[in-house]
Amino acid sequence: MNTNGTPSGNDIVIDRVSQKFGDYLALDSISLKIEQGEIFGLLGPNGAGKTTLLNILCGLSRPSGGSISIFGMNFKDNHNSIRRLLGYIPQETALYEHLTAEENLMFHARFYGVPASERKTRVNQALELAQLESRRKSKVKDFSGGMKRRLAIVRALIHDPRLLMLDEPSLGVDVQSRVEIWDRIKEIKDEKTVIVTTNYMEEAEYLCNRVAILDRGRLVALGSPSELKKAHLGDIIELTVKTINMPPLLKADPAQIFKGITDMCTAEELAEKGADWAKISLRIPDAGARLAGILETVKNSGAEINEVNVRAPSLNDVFIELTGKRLRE
Amino acid sequence: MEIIRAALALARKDLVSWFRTPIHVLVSFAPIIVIMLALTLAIGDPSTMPVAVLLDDPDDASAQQFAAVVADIGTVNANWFRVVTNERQEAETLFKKDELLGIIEVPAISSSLQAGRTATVRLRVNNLNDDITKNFRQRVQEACLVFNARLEISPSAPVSPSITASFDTFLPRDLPTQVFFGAGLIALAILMGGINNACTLVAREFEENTYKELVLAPGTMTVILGKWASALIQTFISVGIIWGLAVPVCDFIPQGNIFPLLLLVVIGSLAFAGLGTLLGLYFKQVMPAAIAGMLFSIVGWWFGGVIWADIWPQSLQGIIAALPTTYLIRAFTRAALLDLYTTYWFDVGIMVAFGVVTAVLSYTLLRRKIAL
Repeated sequence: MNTNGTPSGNDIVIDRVSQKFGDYLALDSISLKIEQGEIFGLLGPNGAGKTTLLNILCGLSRPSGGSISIFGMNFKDNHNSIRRLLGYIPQETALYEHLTAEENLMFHARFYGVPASERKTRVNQALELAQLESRRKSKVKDFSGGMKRRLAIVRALIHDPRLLMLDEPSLGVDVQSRVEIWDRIKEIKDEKTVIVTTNYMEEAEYLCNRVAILDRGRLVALGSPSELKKAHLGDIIELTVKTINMPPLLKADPAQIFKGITDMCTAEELAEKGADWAKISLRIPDAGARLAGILETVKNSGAEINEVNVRAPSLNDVFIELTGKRLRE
Repeated sequence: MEIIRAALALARKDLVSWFRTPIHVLVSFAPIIVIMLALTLAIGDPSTMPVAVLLDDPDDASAQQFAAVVADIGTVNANWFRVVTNERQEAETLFKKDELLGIIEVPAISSSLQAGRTATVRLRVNNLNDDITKNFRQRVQEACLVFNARLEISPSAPVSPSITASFDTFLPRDLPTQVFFGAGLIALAILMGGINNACTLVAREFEENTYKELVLAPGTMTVILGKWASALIQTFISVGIIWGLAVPVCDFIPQGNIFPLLLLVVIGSLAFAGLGTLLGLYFKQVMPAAIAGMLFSIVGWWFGGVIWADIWPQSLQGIIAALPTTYLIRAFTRAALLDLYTTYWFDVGIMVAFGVVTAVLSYTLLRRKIAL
């Protein structure tokens, strides 16, 4: 650990970090290591502890237990040095509405000590990156949500931080703006470490090299999106079948055809059901090798196959598998 | 150097935002203009003066008649005098406690009249300003005229009763009321500017969620210095406006050197910007922070400055002495109106101490926001 304020080390190390608010345990002994140059995603339902962890990482909260090391430094001894290396974009877009885009960026550059000779260049680069050159003289209060978000992201970059932290970067913006924001983040990733919290699984899949899934303050999964999908789900087969000729017991829940056949699928679920049809979702370690056997089993049950859909799982599937629900208040 | 540069960047940003929201500019001085107008109207309003009427000879019929005139004289709407007591000891006590405006001492008029001499009614006045003092004298003179008109004396009588006045003052000289209020209003502008500008500037960062960007920047003190610098410049502007208005409206022309007054504008606005910063950090919303700041300013000004703190009852003196506002207003009004600096550096010292305490508290509170 360097205590003289000089950055050393390249990683961010979170060691058994806990956070309690009264009796409520918001973070339960989280340990992670985030490597330089990564885009690292913190995923989890509402209340999982993502923003709490991000606030601790940027020094807005002090953890109840454990320690944080940022590029080899801790906050207690090096808070000013660390703060120079951080760029933080909070969940709620916070810009000065009565200032223009250019004035917002110029203020940030001055306030964070960007040398006078470089300010104008950096502001121009930031406006270009945010694709807001033509609106540089417009007041921020007249911007759309997506424009504000893009401006907030480039503003946090203007003092050239080594670590960029984004809390729900595309929350509340339209689909087009979201993709643009993701592209901007990917553009800056090469030289910086980026930590992103998000509820959008497609955002995490698109952006992140690795993700940590938090639930109720605990770390429940860690790895690259492809690793997590492989480790937790394998493939997914969705079968739509006519149930009219099935025995009454199976007709009530056609997914029961696969119950107990563990060598065929790891989980089965009745996804949807009509008067004489049903949609069954199966999780299979290797769909290519086992599809024929599955179709045979369905036919033998008396069901008539209408549609078969084989797909790789999404991170969303992993997320639901691990956290159990899509939304949590 | 880095801190100063960042603080100036923050002040510059705040000032640009301030000028682009005219309502915020207006709020910084409009309440003082309202008070100025209200006081201007109130100064001309006749009021009943609390006095004691003491008879040298309580059995003297003419003295009793004069006392009756004093008690009854007035306009259709109100009596000019409210006779609080006729007892000498009580009168002296109340006079010392500033609860009487004046004491009217009436000699044995009958014997003087019978002897053909002029009787002299003696006045003692707690002088606040020359308007009130003159008003008091004129009212007593009017009472004498009324009394004389009712006398049935021979045309050959050489003179009619007359009055003389002796003054018990605690000011070096009387001041016209509007001039006195003019100085007080400028002091209020300093006070309100420091508190309200700072609390609004700080609270708005929380209300608009922009504070995180500020507190995550290196150097917590930068934020405080930046906000104080903004508040100082805004206060200079609002004080300038009020000062400009006080000249024609209140006939306010400062006596002596202007630099001690400018120093008070700087020291006062910075010292009270500390309190404003604390209010902003506590409330985190512009409206409640601004209301609290305005209330504190007006209460502090009323008890510590609108009239000399010395005239308030003894029971309030302890509170008044503890209010930092008292020292700003005292220093400013004495320097501006009387060219008097006997307590100037003491008052400045109190304000500096207050500013240091509020700065330390603001720093501590802000550090808590970033959990370091």
